[in-house]
Amino acid sequence: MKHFVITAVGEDRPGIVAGITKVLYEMGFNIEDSAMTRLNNEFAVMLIVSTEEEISEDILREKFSNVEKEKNLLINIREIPEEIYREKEERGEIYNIVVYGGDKPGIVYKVAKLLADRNINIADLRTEKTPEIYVLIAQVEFPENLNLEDLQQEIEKLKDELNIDISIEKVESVEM
Amino acid sequence: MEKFQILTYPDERLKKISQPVLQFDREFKDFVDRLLYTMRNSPAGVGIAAPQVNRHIQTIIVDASQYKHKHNKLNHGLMVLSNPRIIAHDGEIIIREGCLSVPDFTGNVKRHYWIKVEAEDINGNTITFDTEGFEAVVIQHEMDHLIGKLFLDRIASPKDLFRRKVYKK
Repeated sequence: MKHFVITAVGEDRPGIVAGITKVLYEMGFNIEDSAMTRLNNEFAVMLIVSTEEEISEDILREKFSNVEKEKNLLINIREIPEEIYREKEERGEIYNIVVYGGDKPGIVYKVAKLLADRNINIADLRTEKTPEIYVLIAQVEFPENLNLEDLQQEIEKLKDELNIDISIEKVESVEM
Repeated sequence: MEKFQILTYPDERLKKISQPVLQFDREFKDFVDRLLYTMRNSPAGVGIAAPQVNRHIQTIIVDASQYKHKHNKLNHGLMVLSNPRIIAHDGEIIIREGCLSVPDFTGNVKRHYWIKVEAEDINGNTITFDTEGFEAVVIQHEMDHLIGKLFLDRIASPKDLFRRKVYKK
């Protein structure tokens, strides 16, 4: 099984997703994972795709050249070597983090650094802003040996330093 | 006792509408016993609905008492409810729901925070009670099974659906 990561970015318009997935469908690819969203007026596509066929990056690029021109997209294709591609594994406990405050440079960096320094992995992160308010929402994975009290203290420091609010909530799911 | 096999999506029998319970006889009670056994022997099971085991009758079992959740301050313990109706509701709550019939996903679902429920108990007597928070969510989740709906039908946005941490091959 071969896996590729494909990213595509271009000015938002109808038909970008249809154009890209038509190529994949016709070549018999399976979409394993994807995120596609509009950021401001740009549309961004990120895909992990798989195939049983012996297809190279170059052939895939060639197949996408028409849709790339037609929709004025910047498409990037990279094969994921078999030893790197793997099913996701459980990595500690899942928490939601919401950060908000007055807009200023450095919010994302300082929050991300605080997490990185404690080996907290970011699985998903989005930001939104208005001229005044900045909001960061992230889903993170706490390592098992994490000292929650230390983390809380560091968060309090960062809140004071940046004059922002940070809330952290464990994500629990229930079987029904 | 043997557990029932739980139907998992995309089994189309999960989308069937269930029929009201009219006979609260021995056979019905035996079924409820086995349904309860199935729920108790499923991981972290706080509720189950008859159609999840391919019996399309309007019966649900709910037991929110065993689960620690910040919105689980008030609950009625084990309840067997047939033909449940929500006759009043208020407020909103979002809880990340998992489902025995949808093992690969969890999702954030918006439900009523407070509900007043009318139903028949195990002997067919009509009861009315109100509840809130976690127990109210479990009841609404199980009642959805009776009309062929899954929590996936209630997901509000793409960001509210999550794959389980461990993927099933």
